[in-house]
Amino acid sequence: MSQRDLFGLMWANLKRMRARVTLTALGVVIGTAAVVLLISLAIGLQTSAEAQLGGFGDLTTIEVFAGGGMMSIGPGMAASSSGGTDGVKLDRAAIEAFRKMAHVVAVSPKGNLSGQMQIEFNRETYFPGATGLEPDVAPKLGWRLAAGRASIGRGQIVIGQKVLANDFGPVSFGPGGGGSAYGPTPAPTPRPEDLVGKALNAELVKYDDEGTEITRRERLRVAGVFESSGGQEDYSLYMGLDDVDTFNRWFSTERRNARDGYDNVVVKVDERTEVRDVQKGIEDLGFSTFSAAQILESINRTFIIMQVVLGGIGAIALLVAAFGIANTMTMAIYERTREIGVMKAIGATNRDVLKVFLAEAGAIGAIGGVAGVTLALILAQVIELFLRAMMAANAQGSGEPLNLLITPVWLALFAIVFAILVGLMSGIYPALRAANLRPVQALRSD
Amino acid sequence: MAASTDETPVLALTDIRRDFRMGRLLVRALRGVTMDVLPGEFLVVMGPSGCGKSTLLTLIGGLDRPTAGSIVTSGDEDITRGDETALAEYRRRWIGFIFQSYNLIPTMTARQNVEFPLVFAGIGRAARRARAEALLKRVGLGDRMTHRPIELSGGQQQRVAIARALANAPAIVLGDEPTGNLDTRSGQEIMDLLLELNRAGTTLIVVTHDARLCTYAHRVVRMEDGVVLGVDAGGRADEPRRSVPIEGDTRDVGVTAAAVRGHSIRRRRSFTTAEA
Repeated sequence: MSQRDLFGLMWANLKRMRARVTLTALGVVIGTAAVVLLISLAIGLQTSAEAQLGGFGDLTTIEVFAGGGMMSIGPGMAASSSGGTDGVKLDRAAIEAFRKMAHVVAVSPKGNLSGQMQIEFNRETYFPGATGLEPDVAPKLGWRLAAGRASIGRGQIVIGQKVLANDFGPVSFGPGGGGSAYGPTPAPTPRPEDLVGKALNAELVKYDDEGTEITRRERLRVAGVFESSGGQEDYSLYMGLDDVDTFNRWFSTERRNARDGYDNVVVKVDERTEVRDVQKGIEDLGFSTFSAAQILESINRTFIIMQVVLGGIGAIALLVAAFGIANTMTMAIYERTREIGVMKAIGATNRDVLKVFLAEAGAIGAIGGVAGVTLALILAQVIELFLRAMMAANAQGSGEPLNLLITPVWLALFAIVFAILVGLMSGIYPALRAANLRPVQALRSD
Repeated sequence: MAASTDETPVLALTDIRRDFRMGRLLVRALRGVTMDVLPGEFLVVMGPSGCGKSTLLTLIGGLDRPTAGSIVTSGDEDITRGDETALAEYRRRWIGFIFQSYNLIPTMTARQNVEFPLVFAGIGRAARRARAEALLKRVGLGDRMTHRPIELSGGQQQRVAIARALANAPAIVLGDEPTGNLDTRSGQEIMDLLLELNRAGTTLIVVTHDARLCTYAHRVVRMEDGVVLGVDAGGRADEPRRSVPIEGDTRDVGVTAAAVRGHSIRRRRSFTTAEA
């Protein structure tokens, strides 16, 4: 029997039991729509959660900390502090070891400024975090420049895109701006190319044992400005590791010898998918690590669980529909027993009969699946419109377009395929029964 | 008597037994039937109800399996030994069925009903349609191609069923009381049609109560209580049997089925002869 004949036969049979097929398919429609809507909801929530968390920054870098790890960002989130051994030093040897690992493309120590530094620009005062880097490592880490150069000489800085941006840095209560009810109008963010070459006044502050403030002034020349990575890097400025050491030594009350290890090392990996393995390798050496990829992964894991749970709730409706299909097909076999006998008498094999009934069951699933996805898409639009109307009524114009329900193409296709599978599965038992009917008995039935 | 012993029978039945278990009761429907079906003959099986004649027909038709005994085709194949698929293949290639209650598919037109066996034989649409139309014309229903069974009289439905039975150019056509549901006149017409087919070379086995059919037969097998009482000469005992020899084994019938596609069939040549 050719595919085309099978399809024709299936179609004729479905048409003949039109009413029952419609009712049975309705069950599948509801089930499929429920699965699609609930998973769309989970995806929508995940997307808005990701958006709220902002950029995750570079997903191919791993931050490594000396053993005994201090990173712990809430439950379930990244930063394995396990396995930290106090004896392990984050020194040159460790860096060399990281460098030799597969998929590692760059390694750089990072030093954090341990004291307070303020920077003045355009009569505004900023308190950016400062990080020490090796002079030429930035391009290797994949950081791109918006302007200037990436290599950081002594007394020079390269700044993150957001250091001078108003949403973070400036502490300004000056009377200057034409203030609105919410406060003074913030100064406009300077353009990167305007900053390059400028020397900024920096002030380091520390307190002695009696609590007297001691300040140290520095002139720092802007060598370049990084492009925004969307992550925390944007809010830091970068100076040479040596400068950071110098300043830290000044901050430190007790005399310290030259460093015997770094606070922090950043490891760049070639592929996002390799991050996990590299991170594991580093942790096995006794260091603590942190990566945006890992956080993202755990967030995603949470949402995947949510998708599965919500999808599973929807699938219950589909399960009920599956019994409906099985019932309809079983009834069809009772009604068509004699016909099955005829088919066999004129030369249909058991396999032919099986195919005919499976095709019918699968088709009920397919019809229900397509209609269900269509229904879900329509409902999603309606819900969206409704929510938007509500939001418009509550808070005027505040709020970017909200997408509570997101239905990706794969979900729609998956739902249809799943509905077909449900149909086929429910059809297996009735179809096998039909196929294995004894022809004499089938012909004798009324 | 027609049966000359040196002729290869289309089917050779040896000591066929069929027991049915009904609860604790064992019913012996057939208690050792041995007979040959000769090429081109019109064989009538007669007997009172419950004598086992219908059971015999279902066994010959491959719809059921005997409890014991063998049914060997002229292709030297014992159909009681094959699996379900082999049996389905045998039914498709060797047998055409005509039932008392026609058993047409109610949702299909006359032509679709005749085409149906060709669907399972994997024959293409155009060839199928041409063949179905030729057969329907052959049984006198050229103007009823697109009618559904409900729109046809009993006699007409049985004609469609006969056309369907011939679709795969089978070696043997089996009729189970083909005139049983028909009035005298329609019954007569069907008998005449069967006679015509037989004269054109179709081997026929008809199970019936209807004594009138004996006049059309070469041989009449009388059955009672699951055994053959005797074989009588039918009304056409002396008329030569016209048949196209079935050579080779079962697979050779496959050639026939394949030939349906090309519209030139050995066995079908007989229709053409009759048509001409």
